[in-house]
Amino acid sequence: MAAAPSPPEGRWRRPLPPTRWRRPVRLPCSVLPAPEPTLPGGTGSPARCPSMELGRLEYLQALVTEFQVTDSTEAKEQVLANLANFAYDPSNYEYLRQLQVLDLFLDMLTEDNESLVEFAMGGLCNLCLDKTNKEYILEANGVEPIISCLSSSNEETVVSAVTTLMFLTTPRSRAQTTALPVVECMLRFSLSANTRLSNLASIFLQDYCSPPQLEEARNLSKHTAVGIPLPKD
Amino acid sequence: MAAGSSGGPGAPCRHHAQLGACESRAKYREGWRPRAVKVYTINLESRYLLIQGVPALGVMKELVEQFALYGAIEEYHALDEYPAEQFTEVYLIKFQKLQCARVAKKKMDERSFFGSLLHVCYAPEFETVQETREKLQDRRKYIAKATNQRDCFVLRRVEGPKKTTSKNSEHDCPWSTSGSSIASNWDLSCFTSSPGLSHSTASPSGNQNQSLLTSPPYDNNCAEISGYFGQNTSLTPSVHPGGHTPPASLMQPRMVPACNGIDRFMPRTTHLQERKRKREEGNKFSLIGTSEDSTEVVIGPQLPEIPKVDMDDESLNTSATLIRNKLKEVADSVSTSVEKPESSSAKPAVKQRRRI
Repeated sequence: MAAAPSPPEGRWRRPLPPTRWRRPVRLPCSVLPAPEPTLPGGTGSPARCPSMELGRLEYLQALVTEFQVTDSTEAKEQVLANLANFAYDPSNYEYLRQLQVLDLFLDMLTEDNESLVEFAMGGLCNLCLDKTNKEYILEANGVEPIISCLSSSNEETVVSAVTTLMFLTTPRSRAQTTALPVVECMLRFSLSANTRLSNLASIFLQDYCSPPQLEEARNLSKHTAVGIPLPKD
Repeated sequence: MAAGSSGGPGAPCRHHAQLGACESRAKYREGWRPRAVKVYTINLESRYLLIQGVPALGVMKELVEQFALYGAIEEYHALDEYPAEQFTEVYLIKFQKLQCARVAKKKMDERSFFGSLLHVCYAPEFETVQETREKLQDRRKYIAKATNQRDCFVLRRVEGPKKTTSKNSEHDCPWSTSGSSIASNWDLSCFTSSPGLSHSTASPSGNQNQSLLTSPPYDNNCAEISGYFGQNTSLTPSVHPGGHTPPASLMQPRMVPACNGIDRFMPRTTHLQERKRKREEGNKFSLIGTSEDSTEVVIGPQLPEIPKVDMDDESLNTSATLIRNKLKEVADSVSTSVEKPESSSAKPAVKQRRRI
């Protein structure tokens, strides 16, 4: 396998002591199935889905390891999507935290590859309702990159970003998640022809913003173009 | 705006498109069926399902029957304006529950139906604002339940006019703000965390409890509220007499301080512990008497007194005495009847027992 290229600065790529997830526990080769399926049943359909065979934690770890070492963009996208779908189920949260997948998602938000951003944003949207995850994301200054995702040209990314901001709003974080540029952006979204987006933006404005905030944002949008850049169409 | 759908509901959207299955997956992470690379979030999932590829044979009834196997269907109709392949139709089906829609999609997607392969996908653009809101709230509740956590501030009632008061409640610790209007904005889960909070705001809590509890309880949660208030009732007497230090035996170890640690994780007590505590409190009431201690706040219906049994009462022994007497009788009669045959052995043996 090719060695991982020297990593750019990023949350999860900082050199970390061996105990952190950058160098996860190496699985013995025999644990990972060989190229030919060696599952019970031989050529017939296996008794259990491959992800169950390995044990959930080991499987997730294998995914993360593959993400680290692979050079293939396609494989990275597939693995990230897989992880994001796992993030939908609360029973996996402990494992995902252990493997620092939250950091991984947050770091992928600043990638150029649109698909990676989309999947990472979806993953965050899926898992950010959990208290511990929420605090972790807020502590790690995750709100900023999420806000910048509001400008994406990818519909799913934007929609996930709006929902994530809603879910991350707490008394402590609301100053950030309902900052003026955000509210102004939501005002624009609420007028969008895209029903999904306008629905979510309306909910954001109605349930998470106070009337003074709305007033301020309306005044702002009348006068200046300050705020989150409009997504390119 | 963000690239994607051109029109409102009824127009083809990007998320309706069926992506090709991924061929290049590593073997260890292949699933059962070939799948596309796609992430599903709560935004994408919806009670509305769009079904393409239905053969134009007038099979709407059969189609709906097939989908109804997975859950109750609220609405369904054909989408005539949706671009469809020749000889196929497109339908929209609205389920009552999101979970049913998820299962139906999983099972019916790529299923053969009257010779044609169905393509089933979610259609969240058909939702109203309220439906989307409810969907997000259900997701919140589900996560809270699944991870045994409760948020005090994030769950809201959806009525418009109560918006502003519920925002206040978002900022403040629930038990230290007064105002009965706030009570009407609390979702059920808020009360679950309240015992811990009422403990930490001991001195004002008496008054707060009073004001909050006199406010009219709102519709669906009446029964459960009284249950939680029952909990509060049991907690306050333990808080008041001892100042602010609750007796360790009665209080669960809760680490939540009043306002600044609202979002800290609070361990959930098990049902056994709760029941034990309620029992102890109930016993406590029955011994002390609820009206004697003036510092207690009597809230809600009085707990039924556990009937105390006087262990010295003779009536307790009636049955036992009866049995003992009967035994004695029988024993005596047996011994006397045994003697008689011995004394008069000439008499023929008398059957001592009637056989039925």
